[in-house]
Amino acid sequence: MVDKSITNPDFLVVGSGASGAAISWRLGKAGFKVVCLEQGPQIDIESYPHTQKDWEIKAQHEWNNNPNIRSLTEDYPVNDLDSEISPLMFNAVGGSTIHWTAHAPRFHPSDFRVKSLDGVADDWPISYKDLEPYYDLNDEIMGCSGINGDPANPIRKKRPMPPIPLGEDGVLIAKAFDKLGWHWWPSDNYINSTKYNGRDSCNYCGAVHLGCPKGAKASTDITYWPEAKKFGVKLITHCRVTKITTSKEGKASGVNYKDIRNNGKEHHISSKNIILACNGIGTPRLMLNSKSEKHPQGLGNSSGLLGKNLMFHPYTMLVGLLPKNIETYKGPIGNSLMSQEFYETDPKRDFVRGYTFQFNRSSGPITSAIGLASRPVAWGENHHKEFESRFGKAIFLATIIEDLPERHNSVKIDKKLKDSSGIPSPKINYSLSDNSKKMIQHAIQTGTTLLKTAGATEILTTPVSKSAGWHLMGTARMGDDPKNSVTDKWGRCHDIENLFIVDGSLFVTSSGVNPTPTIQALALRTGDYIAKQFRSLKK
Amino acid sequence: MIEEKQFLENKHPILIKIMDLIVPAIDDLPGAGSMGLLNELKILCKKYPKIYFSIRRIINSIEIDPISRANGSFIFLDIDRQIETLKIIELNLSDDFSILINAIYSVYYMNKDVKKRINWKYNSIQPQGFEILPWDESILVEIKKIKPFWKNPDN
Repeated sequence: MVDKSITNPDFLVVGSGASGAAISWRLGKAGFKVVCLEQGPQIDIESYPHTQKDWEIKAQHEWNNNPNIRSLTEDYPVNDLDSEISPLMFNAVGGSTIHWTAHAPRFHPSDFRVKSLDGVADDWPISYKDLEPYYDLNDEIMGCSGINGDPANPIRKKRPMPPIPLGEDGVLIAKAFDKLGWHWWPSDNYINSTKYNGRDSCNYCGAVHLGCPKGAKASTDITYWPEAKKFGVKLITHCRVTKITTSKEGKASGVNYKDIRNNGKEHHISSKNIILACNGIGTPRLMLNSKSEKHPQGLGNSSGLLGKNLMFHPYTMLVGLLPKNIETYKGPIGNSLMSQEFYETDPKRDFVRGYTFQFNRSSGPITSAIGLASRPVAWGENHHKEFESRFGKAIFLATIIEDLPERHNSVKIDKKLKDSSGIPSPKINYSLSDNSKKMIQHAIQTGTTLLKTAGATEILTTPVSKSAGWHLMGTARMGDDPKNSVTDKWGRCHDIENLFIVDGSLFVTSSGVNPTPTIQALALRTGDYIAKQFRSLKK
Repeated sequence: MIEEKQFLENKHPILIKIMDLIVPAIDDLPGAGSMGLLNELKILCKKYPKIYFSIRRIINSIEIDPISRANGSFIFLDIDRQIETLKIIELNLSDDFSILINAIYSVYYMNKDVKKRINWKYNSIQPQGFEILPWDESILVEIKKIKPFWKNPDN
């Protein structure tokens, strides 16, 4: 039996991660009856592996960010055999924000206008100015550490906290950028540099990619969700949505879901409106799995674009080995500073758009040996010498390459591969474009120059990291023309007026920065729109 | 898993040899196998069966190697030939070999004597965390000289 208090809500949100949490909070605050279904569990932050001596082993297995390796009951497998990049994600309250490194950059104004500026892809139906107030609101709720004055980005509101310290290794890199006359700036991070909103400050243990047991790194389970629940939003875990049901008229009428803990028994919840927040792979998977007589190609797919234009950010990794051990495992592993020297299109280069350099750190001894962002340390007679050359001495530049949309890069359904509830899984087809390949070569040259200037005596290069599919975008793009997009500029499906999307699927282009603040800003903006448009539904 | 336990129990000598070849002796520490880390590897196999299956495939592959068979066993080969055999396995069973390497590195760098040798003083990284240099705004002096260069397409 389905609990009556959750039946027929005004809005049923599927997924409780970055965007699902943000829109649930916004609509709960506006007074709507909101129910959110999450296939993963609620994880107690004290159960994160950092306090355990085998934390680096758990990072390789049950805390791996690749669902195919993790293989937990709440995960679904992804067929990535025909993809140059493996998609990464996490299924729990908070979604992939549990695992993210919490880097919080914004799109540039130019990112919304790549067709007008560079003649490629498409312009977004919205601008930076449309999103700016929602970026600000999200910074406040998630808690942003950073500082104004970056010459590569527009001035914005003062961040609530000063930047995360750069550390000895960060200072070394910053000075190398200065020496070359290249742009750099301390990164905006959703990691507390001071206590904030009842959450502790960072103590620089490093492993933010495994969650934060101090609550210093923002993940939506500890930022948006406690507030959303106060507004009466019902969050139900271990519920895997199998299908969005439709009425005779073709409108969304509710969802079928399976309770993962209770022998996978299937239930139905009807809802006035449905909001999808399942990420750039989970959302098209669910919509394609929900085809019906009225929607034979999958829900909301009259354009034929659902699942198409999948974008990742290809990551080029350059690990610089310093001559001296400066304990480069101290401090958040993710981005403490970044450079956008090569971000915008420059006609002198042989590619359009550009990339961001992110300065990252090393980690503990096991991670150093198995090779963070590079090949593992050699086995055999050279093992100890090579380990010695890396441990505490490795700094790395992650280059985040702008990925342009291409229709052949896609999410489809693999009818043979199924999750633990018997639901068909996604199959990814993805290959790098020539533009990306040229950008990667450029980044290897400039990154090598930078690391040498910083004093690196050896550089290990990984042109494309296969296990770096953190950012899942573009598979249900927004736009004004229903023939060329899946949703309108508010994330509302052109084909189904009571079905909304708020995750990375909406992206028209990828930009050259991490997408989460933009995903959350879009969700908050859609929430505002809905709150105004649907006033009559209020309880 | 009875099968798993029995298989690993029967292969102690070969596993210890492989571990010694992967991480050899250094200073006063013997190789990973001779250090007695096999038990830790077996615990890992029990917890993560995919490690066990990779090890089983690797050992089966070693055991059908004609030169190993001609010499009675892999463990009776000279060290150069043992290394050569492992390199061939690494090439042919690359995913399994990568899982084996990760598992051996994991148990090796968890060992307290190894941690002492590499000067890693920690059992875990929380709740103590680390200290790093505090934020110092003077680092921005040079970069602040650069004028804003972002594009505003809507102007």
